[in-house]
Amino acid sequence: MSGPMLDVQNLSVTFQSDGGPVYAVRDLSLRLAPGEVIGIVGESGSGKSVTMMSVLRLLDTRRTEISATELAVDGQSLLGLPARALQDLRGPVVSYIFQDPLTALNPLLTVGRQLTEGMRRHAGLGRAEARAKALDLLRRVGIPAPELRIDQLPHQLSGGMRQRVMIAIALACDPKLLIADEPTTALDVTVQAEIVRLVQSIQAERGMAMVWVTHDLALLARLADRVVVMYAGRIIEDAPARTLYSSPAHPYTAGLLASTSRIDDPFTEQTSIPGMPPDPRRIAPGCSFAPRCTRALAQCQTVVPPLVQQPDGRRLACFNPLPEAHT
Amino acid sequence: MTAVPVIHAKGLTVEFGVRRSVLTGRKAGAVQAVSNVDLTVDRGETLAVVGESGCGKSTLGRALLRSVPIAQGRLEFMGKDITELEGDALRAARHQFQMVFQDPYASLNPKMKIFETLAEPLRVHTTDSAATIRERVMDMMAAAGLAPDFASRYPHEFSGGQRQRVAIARAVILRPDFVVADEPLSALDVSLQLQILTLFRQLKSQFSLTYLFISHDLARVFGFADRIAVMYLGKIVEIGTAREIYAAPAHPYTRALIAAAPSPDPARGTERDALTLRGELPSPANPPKGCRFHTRCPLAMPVCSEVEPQMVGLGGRHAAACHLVTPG
Repeated sequence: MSGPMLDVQNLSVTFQSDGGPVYAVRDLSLRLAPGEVIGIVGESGSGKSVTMMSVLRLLDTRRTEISATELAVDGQSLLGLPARALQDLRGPVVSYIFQDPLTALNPLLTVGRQLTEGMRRHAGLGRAEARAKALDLLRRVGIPAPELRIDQLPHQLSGGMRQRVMIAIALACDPKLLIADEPTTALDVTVQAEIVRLVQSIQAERGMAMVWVTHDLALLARLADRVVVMYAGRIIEDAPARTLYSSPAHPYTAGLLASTSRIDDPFTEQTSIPGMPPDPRRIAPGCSFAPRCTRALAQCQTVVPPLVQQPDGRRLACFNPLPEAHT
Repeated sequence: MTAVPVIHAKGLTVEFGVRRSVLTGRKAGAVQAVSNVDLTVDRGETLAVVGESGCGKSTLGRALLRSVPIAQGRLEFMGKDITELEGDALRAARHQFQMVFQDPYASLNPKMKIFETLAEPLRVHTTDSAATIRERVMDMMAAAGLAPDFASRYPHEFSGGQRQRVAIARAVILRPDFVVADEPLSALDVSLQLQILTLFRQLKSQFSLTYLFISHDLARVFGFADRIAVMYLGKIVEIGTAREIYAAPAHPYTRALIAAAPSPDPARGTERDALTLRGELPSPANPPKGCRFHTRCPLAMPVCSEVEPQMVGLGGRHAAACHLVTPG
């Protein structure tokens, strides 16, 4: 049996801000098998993006403190790895797709230049070879007239086209792990549906492992094998997708699911989670969700519930989970 | 029904980027963001306008508030023609229609305390005494779910959800006859979206408000709106009650929007894929001939690229503009 594609153990990320330290990620452990597709879901400030960005140290190191007992991709530990060595991994091993292609793309370089940069650096391809491969990739991600688009600048493309270019760049070096951070949030639903299907089919044909980071549980339903739910910097539930959607165990997961818009059942009145997410600068003792939780016990106010492996295959951090739903 | 509608628009057209040629005096480079739209908003109803970005839904909302110039057509507010209203008369009418914006970080004055933000419209538009204003502000804050001690604080001290509550309170404090909310949920986290939607609902029943609710999230508006108008490239392509449209979406574009909306159910339909649209919104500067949707329509026929379909009644309040629909 091969080892995990991604192995994160006891990761904590703290930012130094003017208002004091921000505890963005707290004691997070996560493993991803080769070829596995997981979704990380959480609201803004939950630490979902920060977790993924800290894997290849994409965060500003001057103001960020990252600690972990293990941080490895495809069996290679990244802890203590010099910046230069990390660069060699960005592209061929791990690639990212970000939410806003307009800020992620260089506005002054042509699509072709940005697409071939990684291939030439990492795979040592020549100019002509790289260009031919770039055209293939643009075709694969559904860009019409790639011969024309390859020499254009990002501002000459629509939002959906730019995101396709981003996907092509991310795939250029055949990564083993693709991390997509809210890749469709800025797009219209019809374009989102196309992009999701595109990435899904590429993932299936290449068998690469994938992490989708999103705030939208609905989006993940058909995408992810497994869904990891984060709240206030911690994983609170991690379950196979079918289990999570049919019987959420953590009250926050259940609340999030209940407030997600349902195109399949839009007229049933929904209940919202009361209150607001906590300020990540003020960490209260106990479970961070307790102040908003209708099932909170006295214990929840004082002790952080540990993330414990359950018999049904999920991991759960809750002292008073919902009873198993009978379906 | 003989009640006067809050909004009645006929042939409403909004153009942007119009230049007059120096030589010929002819208009050039015009983009019709809203093209020949007929729309009625009844008193007390919530009408949702949905569509992709660039479809003209925000511009339509602004045109109904007279915030952008109307190029052609006629706009009545409470039975009164306001198409040509200008200057002081328009300013005086403004307290009757209000807007809530998408981004509560940009729509509140960062230098104004919450109390001042809410008191300002009252000072401008009413002759209320300072004591009455204080009372009305505090009442409004309570209705919007804002704690009284927030009054002396600044916008930066609040989260997105709380700011949106303030923005809504400011829009509603003058008891306007018509409120346009432009994507008021899309900057908010999922768990807060529902809270804000509930606030809109409560304020509507408390102050008998009428909403035009602009959104790209069809799933959200089905349960919230009385009626839904679907826009594509400056035109309304389908309109009806939420239940009429959900039960029998008539326009292929409406069907595609419903099919594209993700559902939190891993088992739900792969058959929806058949309805998914290819390609992107064409440029409104150069809209396709005939039906504007024909370039992306999976069901397009030869006639669709030649003849523009007209709105056809489908029974009830339901109507759609498509060559494939037959009158009901």
